Amino acid sequence: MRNTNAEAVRQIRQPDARTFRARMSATAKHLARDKQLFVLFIPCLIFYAMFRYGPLYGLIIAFKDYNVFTGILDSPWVGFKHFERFFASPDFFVLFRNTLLLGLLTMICAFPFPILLAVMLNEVRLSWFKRTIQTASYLPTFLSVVIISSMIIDFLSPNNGLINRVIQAFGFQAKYFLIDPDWFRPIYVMSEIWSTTGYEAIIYLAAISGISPTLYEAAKVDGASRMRMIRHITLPGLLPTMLIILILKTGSVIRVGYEKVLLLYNSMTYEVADVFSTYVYRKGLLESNYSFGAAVGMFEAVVAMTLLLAANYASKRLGGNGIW
Amino acid sequence: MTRKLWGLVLALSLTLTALAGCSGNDTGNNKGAGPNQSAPASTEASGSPEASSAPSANDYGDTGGLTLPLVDKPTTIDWMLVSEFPANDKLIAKEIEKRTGIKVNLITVSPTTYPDKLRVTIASGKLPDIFHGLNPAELKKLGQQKAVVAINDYADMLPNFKRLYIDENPWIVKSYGDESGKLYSWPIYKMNRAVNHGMMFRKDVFEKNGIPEWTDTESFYQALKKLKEVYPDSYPFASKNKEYIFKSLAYGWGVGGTNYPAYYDENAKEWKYAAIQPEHKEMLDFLKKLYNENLLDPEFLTDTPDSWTSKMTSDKSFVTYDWIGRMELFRNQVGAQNPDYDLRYGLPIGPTGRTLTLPETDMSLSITVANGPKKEVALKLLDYLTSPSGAALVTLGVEGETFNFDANGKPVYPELADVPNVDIKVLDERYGLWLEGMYLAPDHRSVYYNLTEREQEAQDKIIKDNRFETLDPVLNFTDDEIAAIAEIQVSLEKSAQEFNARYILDKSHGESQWEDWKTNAVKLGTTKLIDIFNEAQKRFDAAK
Amino acid sequence: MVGQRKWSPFGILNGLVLIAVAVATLYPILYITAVSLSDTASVTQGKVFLWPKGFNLSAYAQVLTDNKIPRAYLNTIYYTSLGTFLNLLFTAIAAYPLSQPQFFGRKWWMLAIVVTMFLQPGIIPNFLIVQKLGLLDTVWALVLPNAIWTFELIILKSFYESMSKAIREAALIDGASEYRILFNIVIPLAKPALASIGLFYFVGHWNSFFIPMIYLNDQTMHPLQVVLRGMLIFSEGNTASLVDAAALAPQALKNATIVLSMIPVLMIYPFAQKYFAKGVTLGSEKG
Repeated sequence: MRNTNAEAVRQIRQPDARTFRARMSATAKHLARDKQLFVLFIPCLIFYAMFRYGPLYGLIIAFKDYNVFTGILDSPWVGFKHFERFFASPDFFVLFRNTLLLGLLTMICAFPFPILLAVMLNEVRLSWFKRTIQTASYLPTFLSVVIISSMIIDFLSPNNGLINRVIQAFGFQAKYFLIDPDWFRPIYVMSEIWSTTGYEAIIYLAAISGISPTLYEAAKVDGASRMRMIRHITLPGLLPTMLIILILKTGSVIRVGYEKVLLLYNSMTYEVADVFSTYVYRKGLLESNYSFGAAVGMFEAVVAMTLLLAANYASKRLGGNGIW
Repeated sequence: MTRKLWGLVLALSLTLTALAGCSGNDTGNNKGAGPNQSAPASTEASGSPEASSAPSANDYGDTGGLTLPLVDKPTTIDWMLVSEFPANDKLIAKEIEKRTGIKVNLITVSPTTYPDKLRVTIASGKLPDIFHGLNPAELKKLGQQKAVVAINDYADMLPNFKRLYIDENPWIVKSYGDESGKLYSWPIYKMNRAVNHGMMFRKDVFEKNGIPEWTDTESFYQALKKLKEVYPDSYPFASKNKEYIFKSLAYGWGVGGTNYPAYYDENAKEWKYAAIQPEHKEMLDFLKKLYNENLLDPEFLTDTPDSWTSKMTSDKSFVTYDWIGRMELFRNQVGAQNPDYDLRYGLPIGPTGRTLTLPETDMSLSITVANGPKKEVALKLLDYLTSPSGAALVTLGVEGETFNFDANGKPVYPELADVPNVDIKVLDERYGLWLEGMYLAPDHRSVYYNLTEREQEAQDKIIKDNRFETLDPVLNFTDDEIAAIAEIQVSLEKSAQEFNARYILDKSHGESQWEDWKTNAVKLGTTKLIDIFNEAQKRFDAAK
Repeated sequence: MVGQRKWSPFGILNGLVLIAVAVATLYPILYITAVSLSDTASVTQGKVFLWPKGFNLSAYAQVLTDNKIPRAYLNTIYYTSLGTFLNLLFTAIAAYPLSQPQFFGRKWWMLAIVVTMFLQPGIIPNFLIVQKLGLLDTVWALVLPNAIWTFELIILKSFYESMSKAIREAALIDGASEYRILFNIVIPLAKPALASIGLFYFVGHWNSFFIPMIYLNDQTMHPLQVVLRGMLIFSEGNTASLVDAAALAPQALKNATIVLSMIPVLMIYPFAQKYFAKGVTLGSEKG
């Protein structure tokens, strides 16, 4: 600010010739900076061009009858055939609904927990306690989907699963959760929360540590309680991060992976559990069709991109920051 | 501060690179394969009609007419297959090189990544000389583009192939070749044991409670009831195969087949859709009865292998359907704690009392040869491995070095004396034997065919009354047919499974739901599907 | 005053909830560890719940005496450190221009970058690019094609954006170049964010199994996860395949491999954690 003030003062004192030169030198400085920024940006540019945009020609697999040997460029072109097949399949709307619901529910329900965890951890004064809890909370990252699903099935077993034993201890009847379509989504969402909360809390913890401690000190001086400090300092401080993550997650709502669903669903829950990716997986077992999978993937990508753009726009409209 | 940190990391990485580079060579278990002389003359393989030719290389046994070595100058070929263990340092690679002069570069890939790895390798344009794993339709396409070799075109230089698949089993080309009669995959001959799956039960528990082994469906039911009386907290019949249980048991009701739910009715001489047949409903009714009387584990649709294992090895369940190896496996696992534990094979349930037949010739791997400069060498190698001599190598080892025959004609492995159970996994790990894709005509003296007493009993039970369900014909579908089938099946099968499960689990489901399902199934395409099968069948019959 | 006492009611409630969270996440790990230390019979019959039964280390012995393991460990350490280093380098640099409002075309670059999160043409085109660049069977195939993860890039960029502008202004007055600002000011101040994305990158490399399997044919180059999985045969299939027939890996062995692959990362964690434990002093601002 001082710089510009001096400049302004100079401009008032010496009109025209000096101003022009001053403005030119200012622009030159800007250009020099821009060049520097650009130089810094070059590695990133090259990276994305080579490794992210380079392979994009492979997307045309969705419009071809891809044959692995013939290659991507030479395989015969079939236009929208795979897309038509996909949209025409009898289950399309059910699949769409299931995929979207599962994704949305997971996103909405799982969203607050990492924030809560980070805030709670931040309030802990004993550093060894904090460290232990934090480490424990992100251990689920090391367990593969297969293991987690196996555990869930065991936990919920109607015969002697932990959950049912607790239920029976309270005098209620044991319930077979896994075959009940009404329970599939809650089970799925809860297991997602369990797996990802600790890991995602890390980002929020980092963001909290970026909040200036002077704010807390000032608040303490004013006699604010811990809850108030959380409400008026911590949470607002986390708002930008929260928004970014929320926007990014909105984009992935349609991308429900097949592994976990495949391991948790069964003939009784197909109606709510079958999603695009599991459909493609089952089809792939009957007929190896790369192109079909690519078409479905592209459809998902388009939906995801649209959702992300919408979320970003909404966020900026409401006064928050966006991704760009 | 951050700079220092990065500097440290950089230095560390560079040091480690140097280390990794230096710590060079050997990973493989170099269990010294005998370097010196070739093995003394091995016994002739049983039942091979071909008179083996005389020359010196015949120290290796019957090569079916090939002369060893197979090449006159050292040649390397790439062979991509599924294995958990790297194999290039093992006996198998060395021995093959010794006998045939061919150096095989075994590219071993773990089962989970194999399909993707295969595809990227092909996409990169460089096919391995020998590989397997593509499905037949893809393979045929590759063949038509001349990317892989039409094996039967080379039959004249492949005596073993010719004998087995042109002279003795010409139907192979008809069933598995493409429309111009070209065969692109190398079959596997007589790999399957006669009986590999079936009903099993805890004989010790049955005997303790005076329950006779069942002989039909009704006595099976009675046995389960009695078990439930004695062990009220148990669910006598458990299963871990989820919805595959229907496919497995369908044979007993006459509606089973490899293409289940489509099956071939030998009497009506046509294909039908099992899930809407009255016999299928009978099976479902039986299972429903078991379920309602708490004889069938309510978790049968979702049980995990581990949970099922714990039920079958304790007093929570006593009967199941699975691979017969479990009899020994479970016993090994809990025998120390429960010496009476005795899992035995039982008769199939259902009115026909039959079980599935395993095909004599297996094409499921789709072993194939790339159409490259080394194709003839590769073909000859495959032919050698099909010969009794080569087969013995892959499935037994080197006689006199890795194993010896004992008094009963069973192979004994001196270096593995301390291993409790020498099975093919051990042989794979140690010597690179039984690699998937290499056992083209397994020698039946191999440990794989060592039936334990229980397994022998299992086999005898089925063979005695010939309880094998006739194999469904193997149809040769066109690309369009395959696409159409896949299209219909994906949704149809899902709905069929949904119905099966609901019918059993839901008390309110009964006759009217069955009728609704039948109507619904037709809407989803059962008739169309069966028509495709019957069309292909017509072609099959005509070609005979 | 509230907050000064160590054991305020708020603090206690907080602590209890956190303990519950830890129990929920720890229990499965403890169960896995217990199984890995138990004998086969107890595990088979499902008798293990929290403590090992029939304590024995045979599963660990089996894994650790395999002569592929030491090299695999070294490989993984190498790939992970190199990979994380490059990740942080690339991401920290790339996020900077994107965070400066006056950067030419910023909006468009961001859009182009975000789009790549969605357009994924699959393994084959990626493989072909790596192959054409001659990176197959080298460590570069593992660390270059994913040198930047867009999610982490966006996180870091927004962290940079939230940093106070005053420092930058101060530096500009001093005539510092953008390079100086980035390396001497922004990056040191961004340590918490860098530590957290660094951790994500680290774990990503450490756990990776599929990519090394595809890009590395040479088995001596395989990292830990690949080798560990190679010791098990996850026979979840239903077919009468011979693999299913051969042997089911005992639970103990399976779980031992999981524990062994977790331990080193758990040791790294406290190291990274101290970067986002406390707030960062913004001394250069001169309040």
